[in-house]
Amino acid sequence: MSNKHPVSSEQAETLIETLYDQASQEEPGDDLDKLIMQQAHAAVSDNSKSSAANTSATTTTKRILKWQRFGSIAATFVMVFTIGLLYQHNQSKLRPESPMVIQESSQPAELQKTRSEAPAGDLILEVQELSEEEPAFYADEVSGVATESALPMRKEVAPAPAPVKRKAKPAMNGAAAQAVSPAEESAVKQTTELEAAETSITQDSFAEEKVLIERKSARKKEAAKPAQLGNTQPRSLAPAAAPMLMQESISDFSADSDYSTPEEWISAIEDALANNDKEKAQQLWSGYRESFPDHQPSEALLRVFADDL
Amino acid sequence: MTLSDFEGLSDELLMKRYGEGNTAAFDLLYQRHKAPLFRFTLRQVPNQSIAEELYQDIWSKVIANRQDYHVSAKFTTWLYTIARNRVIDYFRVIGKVPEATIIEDDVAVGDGEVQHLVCEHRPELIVESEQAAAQLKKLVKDLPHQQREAFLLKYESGFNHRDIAEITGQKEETIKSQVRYALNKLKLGLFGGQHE
Repeated sequence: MSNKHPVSSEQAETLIETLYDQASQEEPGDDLDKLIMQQAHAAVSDNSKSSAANTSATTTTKRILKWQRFGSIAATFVMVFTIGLLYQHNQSKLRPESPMVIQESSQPAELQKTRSEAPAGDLILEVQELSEEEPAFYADEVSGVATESALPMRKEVAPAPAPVKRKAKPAMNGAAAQAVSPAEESAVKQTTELEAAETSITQDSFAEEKVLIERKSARKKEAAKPAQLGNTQPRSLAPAAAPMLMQESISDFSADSDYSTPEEWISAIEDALANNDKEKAQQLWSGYRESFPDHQPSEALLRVFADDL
Repeated sequence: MTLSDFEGLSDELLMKRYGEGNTAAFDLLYQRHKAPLFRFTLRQVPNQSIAEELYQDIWSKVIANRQDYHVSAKFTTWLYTIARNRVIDYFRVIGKVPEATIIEDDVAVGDGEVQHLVCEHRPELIVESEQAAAQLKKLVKDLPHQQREAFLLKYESGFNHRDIAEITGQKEETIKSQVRYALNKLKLGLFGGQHE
């Protein structure tokens, strides 16, 4: 008897399958598992990066195009602005310079000298008048297109000094007007009146002197006529001419007299009265009164000529 | 999404998800098929290092072709087709192109003859024997290439004859015969051919 055990075909197949399942337990190592899974993940990650890179590239391209568009617009704007600036610069060169500068430069040296010597007020007035025309011109330059050539021109214009009140200006500011005292005001008034009287006297004297000279020359001509005609009889003066002659003698006396002071006048009058020359005294008194109407004579003279007063 | 979210999905959907960029789907797919595929490779090549190299290459091809995968094809069929081609490439490289199995030259073991196989030990003890396991592995490796391939696809990876025919590009009947001859050789190797 042997130990052999008969095995059917089906039993053998089942035994092989079972044995194979038990014997076949090999698996890849953990390192190999990790390596393969990392490879799988990396492939997906690379794919994502690639697509992301593509997306990023697309986005970058879009941005570049956008900036290019913006850049072209900005360049166009800058170009137009520059052209405008150059145009305005050229215009400002062609435009006549500031009126003030023209006047300064085109005037002869004498006039400029006169201007420099003239009272400050006059010059200021001129500057102010010119300055009224300036704003439009300056505003044009200040609007951002002022050129370097225009700016120094403006520097040539001296800054307007503080306005000086003109002498003849009647109106005064309130504070200044209040500061003038009544005494000063009356003094000024008297001075003004005296000046006006002096002016009128001088003018009257000049006119009277002129008339007297003319009349003297006329009289000389008339006196020469009888001699020439052989008429020896003295010419009798017409009665109508007497007042004129008397007045003429007074004026003549008065005009020829060298009495510059009231005392001299009075002295001459007293001399005439002492010589009983009432007529001369009367003439001198009239001249004295006319010359010095405000002078107060002595009581004696006032009594003598009380009728005239 | 985590692995648990993909537990109920088929291999085909997982591969599709992975093709769409979901790495978790690949992780689950890999866990499902790593051991059988590794052993399928290991049983056909001389040593484990070569098996690991080929195994990595197989998965690399899966990864590289993830976006070319179509759900109409069965994933395992696609996977083992890749694996089979890689093994064949290996043999071609080393100059040992697997020859087509000539069934007539195989061991002429008919179905009826198996009944006469005897075992020196009780069959249930064979299963517990490590020596028997090692002998079986050696017998499998010594099988002709096509019989070994058919045997492994059937008993290692669980394919039916039709799937194996699809993977190997052969007729289903041919696969059946190769599997049968492979089993007979293993029986002879394990239990001997002695009759009672």
